[in-house]
Amino acid sequence: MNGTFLSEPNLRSRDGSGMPGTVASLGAAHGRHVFFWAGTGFSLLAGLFLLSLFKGAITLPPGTLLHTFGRVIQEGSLPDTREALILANIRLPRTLLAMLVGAALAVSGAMLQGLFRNPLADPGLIGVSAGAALAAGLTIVFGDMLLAPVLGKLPFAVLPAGAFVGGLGSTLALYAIATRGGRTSIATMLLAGVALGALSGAISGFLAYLSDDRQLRDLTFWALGSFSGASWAKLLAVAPAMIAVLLLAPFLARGLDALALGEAEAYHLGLPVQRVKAAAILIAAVAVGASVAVAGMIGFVGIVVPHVLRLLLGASHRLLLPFSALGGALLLLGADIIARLVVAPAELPIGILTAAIGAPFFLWLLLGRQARSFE
Amino acid sequence: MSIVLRAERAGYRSGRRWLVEEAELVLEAGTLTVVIGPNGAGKSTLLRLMSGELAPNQGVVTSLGQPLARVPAWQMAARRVVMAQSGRLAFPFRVHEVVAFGILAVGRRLDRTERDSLVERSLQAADMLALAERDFQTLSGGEQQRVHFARALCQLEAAGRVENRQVLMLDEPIASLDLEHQFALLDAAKALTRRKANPVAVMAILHDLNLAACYADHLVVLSHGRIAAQGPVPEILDEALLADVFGVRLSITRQHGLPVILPQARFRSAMPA
Repeated sequence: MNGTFLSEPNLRSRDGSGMPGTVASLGAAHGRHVFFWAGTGFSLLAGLFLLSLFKGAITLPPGTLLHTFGRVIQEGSLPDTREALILANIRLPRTLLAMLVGAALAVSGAMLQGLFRNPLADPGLIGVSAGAALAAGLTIVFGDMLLAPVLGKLPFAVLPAGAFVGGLGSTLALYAIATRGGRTSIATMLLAGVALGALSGAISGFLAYLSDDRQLRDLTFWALGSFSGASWAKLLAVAPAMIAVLLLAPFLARGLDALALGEAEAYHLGLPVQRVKAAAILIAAVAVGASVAVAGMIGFVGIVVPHVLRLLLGASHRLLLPFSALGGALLLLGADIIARLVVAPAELPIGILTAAIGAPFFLWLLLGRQARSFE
Repeated sequence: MSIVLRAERAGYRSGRRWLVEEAELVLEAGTLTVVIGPNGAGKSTLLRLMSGELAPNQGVVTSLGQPLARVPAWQMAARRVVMAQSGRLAFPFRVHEVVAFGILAVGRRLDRTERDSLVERSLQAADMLALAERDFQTLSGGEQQRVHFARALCQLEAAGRVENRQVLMLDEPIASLDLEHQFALLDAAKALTRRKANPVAVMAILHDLNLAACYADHLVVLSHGRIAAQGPVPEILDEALLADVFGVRLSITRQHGLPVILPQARFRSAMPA
């Protein structure tokens, strides 16, 4: 290298074939790196999956899984043992739900960070989770009063639907506040998110003041987050929306990469910026609403997972989004196993665990060498 | 030569203040247009109007005869490439990934080998190949600027396969560069306007009047949002005009056939000359 540009930057005249160049070999090395982490991630997830099925208030004998699975295949029905019932009706849906919620939260975190061009954006931080939890709280406290005369006993689906509407509502409110003339101001959106979060928090607090004992317990569940109520009904209620989110998110990867340069630059590069932003907002709202609906408020997954992955695999959203799904599933499944075991036979609300891990991590981010990128 | 972009009485208003007013400007293939003017004269706003980023409140900007508002983003990206002033990144991308942003939209049909080789040659052209694996955020300002130039070259070349009338827009491209790389970048831009196959139109905003005079085919002087003068360099290099626009007394001489512009002193009309 002689320290200057080529005097004739006629890129056409040179033939790129032949020896693989620097960029190609970087790509190949990175490919092996990615392959290694994908293998590690999936092995870990498989291990945690099995651990999650067997461990809990009651530890199941290892033969239960084979026995139960064999019976279901052979006779099409569950064996009538207590172990089989725990495995099939409690542990399995709970495990799947924890993985799904973790994946959805981490992916929506990664998307919101890309959208806001800020690695600190998190569904919790910008008030989307708070909006969803507020709607869930309203459903708990006023649902009986207003809907029971019409519907009789409240069907379970009312709660997830309420949380989803709340999540979408607060995201759209944010978008409306921060968008002028078709352009979204990221700074306004972040600050408006903080304000909306505070407002939701205040109303939620007022609800807690109004509510009776049973409602108060339910509200606490929403505020702290837990998978203890997991069931096939809950899983099936939210799985379609969450799986759709996980499948659609990678299509936004190129747009989010370009947005990292800035909105004007993404337009210069030829991307339909406003469409990318609208899609990211909608997808994140669905993911967060569905998560809050089944598991309450679980913070920091959306910050921790994408950040660690950026350190391991780089910032490109093409890898970040699918790996966030894997990493989020790993983190939340691991956290749920711990939540079940540390104070067994009781269990810890999982939101306490993720906050205990996430909040120091967040502070470390602020103080650490990455600080310059938060400007 | 063909006109790639044309502004006709284009203006942009922020609140009640016109940042650019009644701008008439054509960017032609094979021509390096340099825009000069004091801070706040509207240079960047004019560039953003011409790039389609801002919609004019007055007049119209057309690309090959079509108003920019009707040209979809991907098609604009094939016709005009922008190296903007601020180039900070939100996340720790590698240098070669940032350069590959240039082909996110316009290079979708290229295969992997072609992409890699294009990114590599762009990096080489901007003298950044040795730092290809570095985290962009850890680079110095000048190095970041060279990465963005490589990205612009990458987009220009990838899009050049489907669009043969292109414009490259550079907003203060050499602001953070050392002297050697300042010349190298402007040489490279000039060479793009002079190449035989599909010469490019270049629009550059510069602050250094000597470099502007050296490289420009067409010089545009902007003052208070209006084009005060435009034309070939010798016509525009007028002591009285520049003193009036910049508020600094200048003397213009020639050395080795090139104009040399020397600022003399603060210009105060109240003081006797």
